[in-house]
Amino acid sequence: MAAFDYRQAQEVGEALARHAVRYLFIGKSGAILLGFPDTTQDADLFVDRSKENCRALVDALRDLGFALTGDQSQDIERGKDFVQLKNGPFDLDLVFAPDGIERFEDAWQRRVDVEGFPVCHPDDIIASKEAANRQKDRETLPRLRAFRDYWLRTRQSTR
Amino acid sequence: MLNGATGLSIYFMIDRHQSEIPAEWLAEFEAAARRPLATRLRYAFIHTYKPIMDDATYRAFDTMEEYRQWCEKNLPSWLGYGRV
Repeated sequence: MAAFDYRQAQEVGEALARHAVRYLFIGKSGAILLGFPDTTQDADLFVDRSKENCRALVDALRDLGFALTGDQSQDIERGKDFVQLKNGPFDLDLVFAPDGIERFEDAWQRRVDVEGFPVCHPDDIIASKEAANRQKDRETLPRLRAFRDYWLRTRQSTR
Repeated sequence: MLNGATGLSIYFMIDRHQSEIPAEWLAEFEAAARRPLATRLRYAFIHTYKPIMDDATYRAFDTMEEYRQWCEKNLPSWLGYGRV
């Protein structure tokens, strides 16, 4: 399995846009898109769990080369809280109800566009990691909070 | 020299964030900001085998709580997926 790369990120962006899927990069992969220098293994997408959107997501995932069975497609169409895909060209986690974020719409309103990629605001990425409160989140959070502060400062200075 | 309420407010207005970021991290953030996105992604995404986690091609959980409990029950603690 090759690691997720820029070309694949573009393919994700193009496939999901083609099917008009509403989604946001979240988690460490989202932070990395924002500029956070760290490592991760897979991409995490926060997806609007409306029925229509989930159906469109299944079509987009098939376009990308994920080998979804009928049952798996149904899981996604039903908008299970968390789906982990390792049956495609790269590892992808689909999160429909991330800890610490009340509604997709709220995160969507706060989203950041990074060269065409829709990304959760750093505050939302931090909120989800704080709420998950796993050991690995605890280790990441101090540096991630510092990055958020840096990001806000540089963003303000370029406005 | 600053003193009294005026000095205090200026201190907080300077940039409360900048002074709190450790120099080493700040240098890393600035270096990352100078790299094109494609390079940042190439440096960031690495594939390492995670026992149990990587041994199935598909998993789905009805709730996040169910997923968290599965991680705590099945994954080695050193992977860091357990809640604190």
